[in-house]
Amino acid sequence: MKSFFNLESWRGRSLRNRVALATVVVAGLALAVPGASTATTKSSSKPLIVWIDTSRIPYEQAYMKANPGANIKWVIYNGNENGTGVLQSKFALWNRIGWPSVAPDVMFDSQNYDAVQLGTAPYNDLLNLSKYVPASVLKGYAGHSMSACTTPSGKIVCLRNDTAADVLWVNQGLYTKFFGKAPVPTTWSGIVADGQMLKKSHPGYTVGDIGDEFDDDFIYWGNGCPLDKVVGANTVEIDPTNLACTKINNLLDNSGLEGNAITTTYVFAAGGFPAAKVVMMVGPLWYGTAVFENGKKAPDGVPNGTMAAYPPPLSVLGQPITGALGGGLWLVSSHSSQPAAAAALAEYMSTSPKVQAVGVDAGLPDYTPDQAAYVGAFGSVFANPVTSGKAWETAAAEVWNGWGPTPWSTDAAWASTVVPGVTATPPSTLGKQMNSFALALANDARLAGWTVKSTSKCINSFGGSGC
Amino acid sequence: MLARHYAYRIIAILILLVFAAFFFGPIVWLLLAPTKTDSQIINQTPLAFGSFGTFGHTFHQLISYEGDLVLTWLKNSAIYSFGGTALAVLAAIPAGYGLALTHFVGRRALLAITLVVMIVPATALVLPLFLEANTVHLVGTVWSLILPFGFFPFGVYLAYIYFSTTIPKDLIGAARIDGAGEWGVFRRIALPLATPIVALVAFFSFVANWNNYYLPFVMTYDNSQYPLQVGLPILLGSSPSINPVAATGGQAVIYRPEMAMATIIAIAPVLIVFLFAQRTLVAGMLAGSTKE
Amino acid sequence: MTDPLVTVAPGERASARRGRRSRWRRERPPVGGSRTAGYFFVALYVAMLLCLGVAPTVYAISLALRTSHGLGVGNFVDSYHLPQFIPAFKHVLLFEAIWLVSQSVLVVALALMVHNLSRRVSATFRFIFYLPGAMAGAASVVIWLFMFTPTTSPFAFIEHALHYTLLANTVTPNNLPVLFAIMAFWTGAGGWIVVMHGALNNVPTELIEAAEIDGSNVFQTALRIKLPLIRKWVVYMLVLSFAAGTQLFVEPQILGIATGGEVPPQWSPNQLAYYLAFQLDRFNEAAAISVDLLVFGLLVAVLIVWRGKLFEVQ
Repeated sequence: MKSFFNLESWRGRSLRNRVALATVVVAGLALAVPGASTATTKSSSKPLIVWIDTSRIPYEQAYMKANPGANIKWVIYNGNENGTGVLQSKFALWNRIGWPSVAPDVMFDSQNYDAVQLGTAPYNDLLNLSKYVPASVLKGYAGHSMSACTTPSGKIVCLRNDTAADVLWVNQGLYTKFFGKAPVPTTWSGIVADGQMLKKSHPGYTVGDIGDEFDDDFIYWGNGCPLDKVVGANTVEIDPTNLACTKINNLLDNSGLEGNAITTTYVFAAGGFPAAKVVMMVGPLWYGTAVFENGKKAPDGVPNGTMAAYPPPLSVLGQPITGALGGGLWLVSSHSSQPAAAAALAEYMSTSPKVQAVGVDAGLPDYTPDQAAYVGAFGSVFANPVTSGKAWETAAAEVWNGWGPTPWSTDAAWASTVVPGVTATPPSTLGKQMNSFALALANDARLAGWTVKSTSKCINSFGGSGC
Repeated sequence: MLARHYAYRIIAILILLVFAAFFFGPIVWLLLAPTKTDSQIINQTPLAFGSFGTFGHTFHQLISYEGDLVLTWLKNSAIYSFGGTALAVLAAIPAGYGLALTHFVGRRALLAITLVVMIVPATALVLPLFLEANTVHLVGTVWSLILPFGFFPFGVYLAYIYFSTTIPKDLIGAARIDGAGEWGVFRRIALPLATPIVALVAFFSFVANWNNYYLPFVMTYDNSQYPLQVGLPILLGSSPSINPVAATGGQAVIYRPEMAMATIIAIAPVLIVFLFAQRTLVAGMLAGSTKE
Repeated sequence: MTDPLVTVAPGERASARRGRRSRWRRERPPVGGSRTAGYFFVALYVAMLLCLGVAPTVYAISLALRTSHGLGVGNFVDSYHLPQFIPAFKHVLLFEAIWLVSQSVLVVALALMVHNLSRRVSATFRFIFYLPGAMAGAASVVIWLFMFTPTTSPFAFIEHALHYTLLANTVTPNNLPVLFAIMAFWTGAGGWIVVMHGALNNVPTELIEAAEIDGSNVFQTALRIKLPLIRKWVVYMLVLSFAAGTQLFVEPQILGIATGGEVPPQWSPNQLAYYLAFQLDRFNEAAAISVDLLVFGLLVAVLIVWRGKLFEVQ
């Protein structure tokens, strides 16, 4: 019988094994260092911790230039984008174990509807800024935009950063070529009429789109259709049968333009509808730089001096309201050990002209005193810079406050119900998809524990049986 | 008869080629994507080759994202995964051996509990693990991930199957009669024969750790502690090709080629391990079947 | 060695009913040896099992049972009544059905086909098949995101045939179970093909030769000889795949991020649990859903193993 106790070979092998294991263990112990690797400012007092997203880096630079040596630790995170819920999850965990010292004092949040959720039960993690920010400053924000920062009990839990109000973008050159000296439309029917003319005489151009992930913000929010209307504490009105909703659906569905002069392809990234063929389009302020910008930034952009902004169209019921898409918030944690300093920083970021004037890509400040300087900085990027600037300021004040803030994304519901329908072959219509859209919204509301008020049989039935 | 065999063989090869294209095609696309620019990816045929220059540019863009954050993520993934794997092997191999080849009260119960725990959804355990880690002040440290990663019941089960089917029982019995202590038996008989199962357990543990999303998302405090798995969706969200709102602010550097390159970086280590460990893996995986 | 508790019977029923137990008796440790040394070998693992396996599971169950009125099933009832609950389970069941049926058929068929080829060719195919296994998780979703977008995908000819021109067309809600099945198959099939191939290697060649002499063709040999002998691996594959599938999370989550919500954030039960916990701070209902998934996975696993053994051929 072969001896398995050949000591030399087994000892050698197992020794090697042992050494290997030991190395791993020692290396592991040497790794016992706390994970955070962002450099801290060397100061005896605790720095203010500020969480920002990559788009706010120019803001950080502007701030540090204006306040050199400030004791602030800037941390980059994803801005709570797209429903990733980073803030919600961190707050939920920290509420259970106690807020650690690495928790942020100030945060930039790219989701407009977060503040009220994080500032009320079960979170209750945001500082009431009405105690720290003067009333005169709070009144300086455009239109009703601060309603997204006001809890039902009246606490101010955030400050707006930029406004992303919808305006009517017009390709000045194309418009003059096709419509001569005719004034730019001021109503949705006017836009549709122009679209019908284009379809007949100049096919291949567009006056709008309904195939993008967030067109509900232009089409329904901008027309006062109550699909996300907060009517009480944790109560939302979702009413697809409202006249505003049916009127805009009929106008667009009966225009004969869907899939044609109203494209169902997205206009954004490369591969979508070419931006150079957009004659006009209702879209947020920052379309100017993100979609229509100079060719060297976006693959399908248009040259500087091409696009002009006009005031948004009146709603289908004749009201001077508009929707919005985006615009961020500055939040202050109620667990901060330096609430006054944190609130002051948030106020500075939100209102200081030095910060808010940074870069044409960042978006129009929501704080009205800063708007003129920002608009003036545009120069030759847009056609008619003066009227464009005025259009922006008008739009910012006209954002309808009957849409949110609710702790769910209306865009996500739109993307999962309407977009598949209208982009399919053959395409469905807005009217046909309306009930499933509204039902998805109602389900989101009920999941979040909200009460849904509606006159629609479909919404009020359980599981959509009445649709 | 021969002709029919021949025909069947041709058809089989054709079918296999179709499936090979299905399995391999996306990988080829992925490898070629960083050599093209964003518009080339859209406008040219999908499997066209771009240029090496573009490849370099893509790499530079990706690494420059927030100060080589992607490389930090890669480093984190390596630390968490290797650390977890080392611990998993350290625990699972002896445990599998003990379950297979020694007697002790509660042996079968331990096996049963192991099987059950394998089916518990990871989501359910995240909050309790977080609370536990917090109690011992490990949240935000590498240990908050290495320790849970080291718990690998599937590895124990694999080791149990391996040891109970490949080590001749008479051998163990004889060694025991010869007077070797239990540790001696393990060291001299089981360990030398354990290379395939160590490789197998290490491999599965490594892949599972590398691809884990939930736990790192919860246990880390900020971007710089994320592993690549958690970082990839963040990159996706900051790419204007995917998320249009990311185009605002003018800081966007991540387009489709950069996304593809980030994905390559995210899978490269596992792929390399796959390639090198091929033979041992297959041997280990089949060990259980040979004794049926 | 006869054991009075188990009738050593040729009848399959006996071994089926005592399926688990007789298997354990077969894999019983060798004689002799210390009765306590075993504890040292499993010590580290048991410590981790208790701290990182048992304790969290117990805590999760207690979370699920803790309601505002003390212990009870309130969370299970409440989560059941959420509008997204039943659709989420329907989605996952549909996904599992499509995936497991197609994977079983295709894995076995491909393994059989590969097994008949020459060694080099066979090894090359097997390698290509299991390469995607290295890309589980977020990476595979990003890859398939590009595959599902008609403007970038090498499979665009399929998408154009279906009149899909945008990602939004491919990822429409009705397609989702199929898409996730495709992704799961892509990453998982290769490994199982290798396993089946190995199992096929152990089929005694005498049996195959005897069958061929008897006149059976390739298909009959496969169906009557090879298949029954690799059955146990197919059952393993079904059980393990099913359990993994119930926990579907990363794929719908990332597709959701990439499509702006076209895949809703509560599409799968695991996503719903995550959303409840980390978006709405309702951990108790989230824990209830996780317990539902656990019980569900256990039941099906037991079912498959049970039925898998009932028709075992000696």
